[in-house]
Amino acid sequence: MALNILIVDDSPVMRVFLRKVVQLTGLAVGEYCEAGDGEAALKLLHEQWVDLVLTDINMPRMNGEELVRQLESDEMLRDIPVIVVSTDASPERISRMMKLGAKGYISKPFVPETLRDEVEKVLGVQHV
Amino acid sequence: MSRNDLDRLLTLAVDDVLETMFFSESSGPCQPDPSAELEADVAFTGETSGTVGVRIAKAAAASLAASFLGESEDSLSDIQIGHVVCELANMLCGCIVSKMPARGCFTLGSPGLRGGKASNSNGIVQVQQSFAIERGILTVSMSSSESA
Amino acid sequence: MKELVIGVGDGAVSRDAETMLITYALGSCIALMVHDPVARVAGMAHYMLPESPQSQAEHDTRPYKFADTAIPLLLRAALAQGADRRRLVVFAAGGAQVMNDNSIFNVGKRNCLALRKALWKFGLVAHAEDIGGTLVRTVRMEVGSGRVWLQSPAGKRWEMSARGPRAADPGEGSSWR
Repeated sequence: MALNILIVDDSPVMRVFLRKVVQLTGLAVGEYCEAGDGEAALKLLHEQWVDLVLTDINMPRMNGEELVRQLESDEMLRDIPVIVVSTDASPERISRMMKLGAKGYISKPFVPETLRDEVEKVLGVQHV
Repeated sequence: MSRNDLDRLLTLAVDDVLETMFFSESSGPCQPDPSAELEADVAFTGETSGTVGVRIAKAAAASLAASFLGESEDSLSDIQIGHVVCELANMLCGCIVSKMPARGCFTLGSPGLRGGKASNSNGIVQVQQSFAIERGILTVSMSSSESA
Repeated sequence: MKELVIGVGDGAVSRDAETMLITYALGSCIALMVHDPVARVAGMAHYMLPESPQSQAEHDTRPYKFADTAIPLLLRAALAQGADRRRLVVFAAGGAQVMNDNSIFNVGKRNCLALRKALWKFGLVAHAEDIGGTLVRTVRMEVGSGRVWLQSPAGKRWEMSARGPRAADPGEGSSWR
């Protein structure tokens, strides 16, 4: 079954990079959705089915931490797995995001296979 | 932090970011390129606040952008190249502040692309290093101030 | 099992399940190996340097010598033999810092970066790598199974696995001789 992936980052080129990494997994992807901030991501999530969210933290309007908090408080959205992809590698942030409900956390910079492996782990699949 | 410590952090961050996400490396320190056209900076706030900036010539930026996006240089637009320079500044800033001995989280602002005029923040400590990379020179600067 | 030796700056693709691709003495050079387990196509390239020169002459006569020409060439050759990019399993070995390489331009490391850059352009990353360090490696790849074995100058052998390297001599059922 094809999956829908939502990529949330205020950098358009980072969204391209993340899409390429997801393609490394070999997962059947139905649709790649993109949002430049948490607010746009929430709106999109209320309009269509998404199987996985990759989100940055530092974004205008609504940051990734608030996005994850909102997802966790929404009965319809709380089961969507979220992987945080952020420049913030502080233990405090990582712990906070995991406690808020994120299922994975990758600090930038990262080699592509690190995120590929995290996506596969969170979704319970393996390409090879 | 001492200036030497900050210099070391800058070098580590540049090596880390270039190798992991740009599949590139620096071939060593060098003099800055005064004709570099592209500049981006990112403000950070936390226990320490400041700004990290990058300056780079368009040719070198195009080479990094092609590596990052896995595309050929001639297929990239100036806008895409600018976005990649911003993301480079973002990652360098995050990498540097993450390695600083401070408690708590940092917040990074959105990176901003400037027209090549060297910017100078009002920070107390300022370090700058230039690195020879493929097709040009990358200059990274950092200013920081202790939070009130 | 037939042996097809890949020389320095050379590469080949095969669909013969009875063939073993071999390349010797990888110092700072890198061996890139690809295998499609469904089409049973395998390829190996042994490149020496990261970038081809501006000179068109050398670029054309020795394309497998340089990462930026060798890797696209090997991948396209594998696809032409029936491999599917989405099924490719990618291995890489070599890129060592050889003892007499005093150059500040570390060729082994530059070759590793060139490998990753070229693969990324194809939307690929290696599934298993045995690169860096100071070890000079010999590599064997079985075309039919896609299994890859490494050997050190001291004779230690181990198999590369897409799930991680296993440091042990191959047991029964192996084609290693």
